[in-house]
Formats: sequence, C-alpha cells, structure tokens
Amino acid sequence: MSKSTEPILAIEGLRKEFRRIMALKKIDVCLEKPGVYAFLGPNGAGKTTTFKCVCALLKPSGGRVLIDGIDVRSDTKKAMTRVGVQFDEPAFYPYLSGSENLHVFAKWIDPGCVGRISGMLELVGLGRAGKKRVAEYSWGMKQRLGLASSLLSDPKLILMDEPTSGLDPAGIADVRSLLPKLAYEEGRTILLSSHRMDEVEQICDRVIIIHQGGIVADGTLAELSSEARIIEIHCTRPVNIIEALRRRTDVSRIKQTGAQKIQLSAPGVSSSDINRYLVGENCDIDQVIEKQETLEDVFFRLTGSAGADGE
Amino acid sequence: MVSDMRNVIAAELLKLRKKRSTLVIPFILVGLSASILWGLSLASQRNWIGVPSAFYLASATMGWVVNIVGLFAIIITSFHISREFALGTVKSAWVRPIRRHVWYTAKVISAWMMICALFLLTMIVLISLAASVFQFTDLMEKEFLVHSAGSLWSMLTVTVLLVLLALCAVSTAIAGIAVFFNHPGGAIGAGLSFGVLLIVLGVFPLTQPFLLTTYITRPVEQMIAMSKGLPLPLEWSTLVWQTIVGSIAWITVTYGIGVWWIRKKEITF
Repeated sequence: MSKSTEPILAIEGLRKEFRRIMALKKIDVCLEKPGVYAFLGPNGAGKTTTFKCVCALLKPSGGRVLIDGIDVRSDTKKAMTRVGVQFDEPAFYPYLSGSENLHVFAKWIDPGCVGRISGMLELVGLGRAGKKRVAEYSWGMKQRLGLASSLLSDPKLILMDEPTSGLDPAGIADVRSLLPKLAYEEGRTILLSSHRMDEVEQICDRVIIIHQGGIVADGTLAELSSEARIIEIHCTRPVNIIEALRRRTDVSRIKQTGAQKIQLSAPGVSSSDINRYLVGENCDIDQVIEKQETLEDVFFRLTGSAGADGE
Repeated sequence: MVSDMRNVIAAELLKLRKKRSTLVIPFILVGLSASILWGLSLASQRNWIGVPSAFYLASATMGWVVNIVGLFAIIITSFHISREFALGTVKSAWVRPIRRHVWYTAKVISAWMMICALFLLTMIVLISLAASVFQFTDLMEKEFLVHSAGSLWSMLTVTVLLVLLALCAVSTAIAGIAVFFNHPGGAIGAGLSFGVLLIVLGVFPLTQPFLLTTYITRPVEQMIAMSKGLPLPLEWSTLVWQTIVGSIAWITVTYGIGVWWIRKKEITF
C-alpha cells in the first residue's frame, strides 16, 4: 500500500435526496488510518445509500466524498482505482465460472490483474469451485466470490455491505480472520456494514452508527459504551417493578430481558437510588446491578426499535 | 480511453464465447433464411415470382433476412444493455476505474459486432445456397445485356454494406432506449414499439426519408429491382448517400441520448 497523508476516506456534509425524501441528511465521516470500521444502522437508515454515494453509483445532492484526497465526482476513475466494493447482493454472470467472472472484472480494471485471480480465489476458499458456473453457486459461495472481486484491484479502501450474510459458520470465521489481516498486515481500510453486533464487537476498531440519514454516534466501542450505563434488576415479579419504574421520569428504556430480569437506562441515577426507590414502593427485588452497555445496547439506545425511512 | 474500451470489448467477447445463445441464434437465423431461400427458389424455378438468377434469389431472401436480423438486433441489444442492470453486474462495472460512457460505448460496439457477424454469416450462407440453385451470371433480356455479373456483384456488396450500417444504427437506437430500462423485457417492448411507430410513420411520404426502417429496406428493394432488371427507384449514388447520412445521423443522435442518460443514471437497486 502506498503511503499518503490524506485520509483514505473523507465524507463531508453528504446529503442525498430522492424525490423530496431526504435519505441522507448530513453525513460526515473521516477514516484516517488503516483499520476495520463498522457502519451500523437499522434497515433504511442510509447505509447502502452512503456506500453508493462513496462509489459514485449515486450522485449526492450535497457535500462531497474524497477517497485518498481525490474527489469522487470530479475524478471518478482515479478515485475508483483505490476502492473495492462487496455488495449486499453479489451479482455475477451466471453462465460464467467464478474464475471467468473475475477475468471479466479484471479486464475492466486492468488486464494486469488477471494474474491475481487464482490467488484471490484461494484466499476466499474457492480454489476448486472457481471452475464451476456461478449459476451452481450457493449464496455463501457468491459472497466469497464477491469478496474476491472486491480485492482484485488491490484496493486501499474496501466497502463491504453485509459481508457475512449467508455464510456458514466456517465462512463467517474465515471472513472474521481475514478482515483484520487485510487491515493490519496489508494496510487497508475496511468499512463494513453489518447487523451482527457480535461480529462488529470482535473485529472493528471504530463504530459509526447512522439513523434516519444522520450519524448518531461515532467512536470506539469503549467510547460509545462508556457514555451510558444500564441498570439490571433481578426480581421475582417484574410486572410490579416495571409499573413502579414507569412512574419515575428520570428512568427510560425499561424492558424485560428475561423471566426475572429487567433492564433500564437511568443517566445520573445510581443502582442504590433505584434499589431504595423500589424497596420504598414495596417491590420484591433480589439484586440491582450496574452494567456497561454492550454495542447492542448502544445501538438500540441510539436508534430505537422503530425502522427508518428513506433508503 | 481506447485501451479501456478495448478491455471492455475483450470482456464482452469473453462473455459471448460462453453464452449458449452465441450458437443458438446463428443456427436459428441460418435455418430460417435457408427455408425462405428454398421457398423462393421453388417459386422462381416455376416462374411464379422473380427471375431464375442467383442474384435475385440472394437479394429477395435478403429482403426477408434484414427484417429478421432487425428483430434480432432489437432483442440482442436490449439484452446486452438492460441485462447488466437486471443482473446487477452494472454495479460491479461502474465501481471499477472505468468511465461510464466508455463502458456504454464498448457495449454498443460489441452489440454492433454481434449483429454484423450474424448478418454477414447469414449472407455468406445465403449466397452459397443461392449458387447451388442458380448461377451468378449476367442478367440478359433476350440477347441484350441488362446488368453484367460484375455490376450485380458490386451492387450486392454495396447493399450488404448499407444494410450493415443501417443495422448498426438500429442497434444504437435500441441501446439508447435500453439504458432507460432495468429489465430486458421492458427494453425489448419499448424497442418493438419504436419499430412499429417507424413502420407506421413510413406510410407518410413526408417522414419516410428520415426513418431508420427506410435505410434498412430501401437498399434491398433497390437490389431486388436491379436483379430482376426492373427500373431502379433511385440512382445508386443517391441511395448510398442518403443511407449513409441518415444512418450516421441516427447513430449520432441516439448514441448521444444513451451517453447522456448513462452518465445521469443512478443505481438505486
């Protein structure tokens, strides 16, 4: 990978409007050094729209995208030499083999890439299946081929939309071990969208959460989860406790997470305060503990459970 | 830009070699053409139509063949462009370091190559079959020479070249329509509707000289008339000039529309 002082990806004030629907309100993202970055959001939040604006498949209504300092709109061709994209729905020519599909893509990039094809197929575990027609591939095999296709041009920036969806456990493990290798050993920057919080927690350095077309959180996992704690109550009759807690205005996001377990968010309120309050309300409680938020907790806190519009 | 285009065309040819339709379509077309030629040869042997000449047989069959190839041109070009959108492979192409208009131009040129190869292959087969039925000889009226074999060969070659140019114009026009559609079915439907509209407009003498359909059929009609020794509807020079200018105008305008839309097109799927 060549060294550059420019951030590999800079999204500045990106807006996208589809017939009066604002899909992206104002997206600002800056990825300065190689690593694995997560781009999370509920369905319709604007993840795919952002990806499409980054790789020039959609024209932004405002703002700009710089890849390695190159404006995507003014010099798309040069910017795209730095990018590899794996789409959520892998698309290939079904009548060609996996290897032939990569040959076609290599010709679009640079015929010199043809030499990398067999290596890429081996890397994603399609060494033997490369000669089979794509029409005979399973979804997981297509995902693997999509990954090989995204790496074909030796890109500095890789965009991955749900890279492990449809993969078997072995495939998921392979991808999870491959991504850090690509990032830290080969110096690439990977921006991936995923709905699998465990996966993101395992492999990503930084998490960017998008909701209703805007960035609602951007930071490391530790930064995001230290912003708020949750209180967990173990009890025998959760219904009474939930009713009592709902009378308090400083408590939010009360949810029953098990038969005898309740979680709630109460910024500025300690677990002993909650304990005292519930004892005062004659509630029967076993234990009140404070916990650090998991990524899933952070995600639901910031995005809520309702879906978004616009993508 | 030229090397990019060469690479895309090379990729198209690689895809073409692997498609089943690459063998099936020429087989269907040659079979249909041979059947038409056989029917016409029987009719002309019995003096029901035309004259017993290989030039007439090849020209008259070509009259049918251009319509069939024109139909294939609509289907092939529509599939060639719109299927990339339907499969989603266009996303893979456009995120590569290749400009959209270069990709589109290469697609149009590769469609031309397919259609021209199809038409030329059919014509070679037709001429060979026509030679097996009648001779390619001078056209005589009693003892008078109407057209020499040399001039008939020259004009048959000119006719084939003019039809090739007009077919390229048809393919370009259909490509210009197909970029608006994300599925081949819609593109084929729109292409066929466009063809019907041109046929209807061909009824009016005022619009006839500007229509793409005129540029395809008129050279063949002229060649059929020549092979039968009939008076020619137009001077060959006028016909050649009009067909070349008209076809190039259609190619320029419809290619421009295609490039404009392909640059503007957004991938929302």
